[in-house]
Amino acid sequence: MNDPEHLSPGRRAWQRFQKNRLARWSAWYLVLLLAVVIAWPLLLKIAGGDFARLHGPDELSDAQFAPPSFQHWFGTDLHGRDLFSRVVFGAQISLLVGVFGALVSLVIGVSWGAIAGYVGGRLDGVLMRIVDVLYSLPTVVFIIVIVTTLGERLKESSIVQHSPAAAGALRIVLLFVGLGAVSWLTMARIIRGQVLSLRSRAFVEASRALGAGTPRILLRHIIPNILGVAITYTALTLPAIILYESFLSYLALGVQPPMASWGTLISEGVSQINPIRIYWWLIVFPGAVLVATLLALNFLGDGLRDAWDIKAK
Amino acid sequence: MYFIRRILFAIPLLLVISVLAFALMHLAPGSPFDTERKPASPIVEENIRAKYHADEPVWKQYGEYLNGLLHGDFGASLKYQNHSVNDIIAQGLPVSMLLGGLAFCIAMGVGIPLGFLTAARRGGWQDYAGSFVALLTVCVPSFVIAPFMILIFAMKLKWLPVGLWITPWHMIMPSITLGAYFVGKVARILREGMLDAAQSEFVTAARAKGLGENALLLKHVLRIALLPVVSYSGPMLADLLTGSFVVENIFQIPGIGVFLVNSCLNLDSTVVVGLSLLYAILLIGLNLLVDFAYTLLDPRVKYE
Repeated sequence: MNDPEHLSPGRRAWQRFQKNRLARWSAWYLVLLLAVVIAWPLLLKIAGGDFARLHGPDELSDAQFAPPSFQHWFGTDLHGRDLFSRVVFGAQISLLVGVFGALVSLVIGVSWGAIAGYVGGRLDGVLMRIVDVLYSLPTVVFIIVIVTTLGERLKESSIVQHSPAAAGALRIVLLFVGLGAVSWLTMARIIRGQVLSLRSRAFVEASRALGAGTPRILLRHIIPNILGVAITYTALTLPAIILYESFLSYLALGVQPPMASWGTLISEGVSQINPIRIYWWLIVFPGAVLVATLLALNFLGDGLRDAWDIKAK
Repeated sequence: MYFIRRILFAIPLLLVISVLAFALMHLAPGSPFDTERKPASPIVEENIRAKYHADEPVWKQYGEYLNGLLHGDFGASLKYQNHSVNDIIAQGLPVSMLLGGLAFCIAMGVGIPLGFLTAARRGGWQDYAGSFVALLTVCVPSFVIAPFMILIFAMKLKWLPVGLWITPWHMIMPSITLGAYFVGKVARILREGMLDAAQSEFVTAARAKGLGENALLLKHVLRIALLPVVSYSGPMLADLLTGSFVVENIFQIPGIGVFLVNSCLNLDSTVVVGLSLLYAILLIGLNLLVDFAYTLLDPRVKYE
């Protein structure tokens, strides 16, 4: 029964994916990263006492700029904070923004592309023309403008004045909505192409001839068949959004202190560059984790694309 | 005809963008003067507000702004005293354009040979090594590469200056950091295009006629595979221009990216709106050029 001809497209893709060693390793790396990101804060809470004081991400100490050691695996920063802990908590923010941003782009991209492809005609022309126009605009500029102006506005609202934590959370929501809102263009184009070709396929025609209505065709035939494409492009959007977020945070336009993401951590490290002493660990560790994560996500996305055998156009 | 329609279409688009950007900046609370020392007396403040038309209704401010735009005047900066947005553009744009242009040359000059090599030696070690390098440059952000280049080439070896933008020596590191990301992008797109083109029928036909593999790759496969690279260069220009914010920031280069980021942080609305518009105009124009180049390169493409 292992003949690939007899398997469903999903199972066939899964088999092909498992043969891709690079993608498999990337998946394991991401699982490990996720496990650390979830377990480390719990560990700090459970262990408490001295351990938490040594490793807490916001615990100041006299050990300024301590190089990596047994106590501080990634060394410490300007304020003597444990860098490992800060990288882990930074990962929380970076991954959170990445995942939710990718989800926002998934929702917009799939609905936009599916409507354009399924309805077709004039609407299709208008919707795709908008995508073309947005492609040629400096979208990052718009995110910067949106996040800063709305962020300023939020600062004055009453909720935020009462709790600074809410301000940080709102800013993150703003970030991933903004980033997701400009990252759905490729998704929309590809989904439209898929829907367009699916719509005229024999099994869809057959289903329509048997009397199935639009909702049934969409649910039974179109959506299951674009699932693989949607998952693949979400996986490829994720690193792009993480990268954008780190760019914005690097420029102090993204996540605001006391919160930290990988971008702000690297930016802090870069600001400590001077010709006399080199605190390499401040850049190497957050940078390495960021690069490794982006690589893993790209390998994973490429692997998924090969497994589903998707052509870019 | 097609291009005339595209140009006409750009005008309402720019209007919409200007309204949106203007509205957004006015949504921001407080006046830009709030963060500075209070003026000596209320009269002084009133005069300043009158100078910038801050007391008139928003739509009227926009109308005046638009009128200025039509005369090529982007308005006065609220923060940089006695500077107009035009001054800032005149100062920063040539720098940013040169930086972007150099990075573009690096992206194409390194990316195309790299992509060609990986596709021509498909499955060999050159392919694996080259593809990995290409993906690496896509995944290592400029703000991670730049500090290491500064540490090594500027501080340890003292070959290159740490920052600023004066002599050609100052331009080496910023151009490489900005271009690196696009080297990988271009190489990956070219590789995919070449592998696609290698399977097409006219290549088989040329091979059957006895054309050598190298001539085949250079004359037929590469030519077709360059087309997706050309069409990518439109979005790439957008990313080059906006990507330069970080590079300008790291190397202290006085381009428009630095002004835009600072003005966003300062809520200097006229500068932000003016520069966003400038970016939109530049990109729409550059994309038109790219499309035009595309029709010249590929005779199969015909726009109505």
